[in-house]
Amino acid sequence: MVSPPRRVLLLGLVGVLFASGPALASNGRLLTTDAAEVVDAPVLGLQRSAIALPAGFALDTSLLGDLVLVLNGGLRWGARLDVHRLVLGARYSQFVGTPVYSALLNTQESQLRRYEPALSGPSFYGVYGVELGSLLLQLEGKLELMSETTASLTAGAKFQLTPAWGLIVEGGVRGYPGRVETTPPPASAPFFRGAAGLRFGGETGQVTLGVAYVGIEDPMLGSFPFAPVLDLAWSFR
Amino acid sequence: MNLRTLAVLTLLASGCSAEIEVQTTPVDLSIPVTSIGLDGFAELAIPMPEEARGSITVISVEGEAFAVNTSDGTTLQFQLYVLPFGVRGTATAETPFLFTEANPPAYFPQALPLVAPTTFGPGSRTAQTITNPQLAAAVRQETMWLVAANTVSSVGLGDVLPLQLQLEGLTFKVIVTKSFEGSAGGMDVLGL
Repeated sequence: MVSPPRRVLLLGLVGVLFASGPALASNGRLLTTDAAEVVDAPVLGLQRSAIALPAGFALDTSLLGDLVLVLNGGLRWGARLDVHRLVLGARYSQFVGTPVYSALLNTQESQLRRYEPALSGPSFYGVYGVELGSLLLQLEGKLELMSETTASLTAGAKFQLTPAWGLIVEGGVRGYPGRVETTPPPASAPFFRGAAGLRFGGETGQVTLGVAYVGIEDPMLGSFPFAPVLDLAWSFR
Repeated sequence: MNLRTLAVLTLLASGCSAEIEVQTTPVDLSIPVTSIGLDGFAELAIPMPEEARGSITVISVEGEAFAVNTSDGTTLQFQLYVLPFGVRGTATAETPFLFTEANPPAYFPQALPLVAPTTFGPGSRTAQTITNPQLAAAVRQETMWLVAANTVSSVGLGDVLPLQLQLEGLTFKVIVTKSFEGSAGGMDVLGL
């Protein structure tokens, strides 16, 4: 049982935290998931660049993906109702870098005879979120139909520490429906996913830096349990 | 950023598969025979390269070696076995394990023949190729154990026991396709 003075203190603390300034402009992303935010202005960002269309729709692309030769385009729809946020989206990715990557890898890994990235295919996602003052809580479901089917369910939270600083945490699970069991199973196929990071910025420009658990462990590649997450975004309001 | 890091990051970025060719470190082995009519065996442990481990499909395995008979007048009969997947041998990568048919290890009856009995004449040096579907399963472990047998039916003029059959530069070329498809985490980091 929380004593009355403590309860007042707790409520006061929550009130102060929730009242600490407006949320930043949306760039459509948290760290490694789509944000339960409506993209209502053009955004030029590394993870997501988008053109806002009427009625909550937006056309978008991952610029980072395009840069590593995974050309991709998506259609996104978002809506706000009171504190509720709903986003639905679809994306198609087409990998065009096989010759470039094969040539690069062959100079490095002489044992490599042929390299076939399988990065092409559609993906679908839906995000539901609740915005409580400076706190955005959300749940993202995603289905990727690429070389193999990957499904994930990820909870995320963005908390505005100050008007300029935001803290982002994500955690969830990933599954590989339809995977044929191999012996031994692929080591780099973790069940859990998670990420944490900080966002700094204002109504227009934002920098996001974080760390994501990717759980890649392979005798040839080495062990990469974590990967950096970087996003730079600029909103044109 | 060096190329290896770049390569790793590109692999990280996606699901993909790669075809990889690896070669085991060449080894030399002597299989002695100490008495007539008593086959000599040498068990050899071959560590498999780490690139060929993990989620792999074995496309092909081919072994190569020179079989050398250093005797002056004796024909040696050679035979090669592999221990099946999951059966652990006694030899280590550093030390072969020698035995005769009088004292074989308990697991030896499980060994699968790889090369049918082949005879090598005195003073010969013969290139020997080793291909057998059994190898595909055997290479899917950290160490593959081979057992080479040497039989002498009669000692030739000018030779005294023990007689050695030597395998020189035994190496295996393994081609595998390897899947990196579990790396979906890389896609999320890119915003895909």
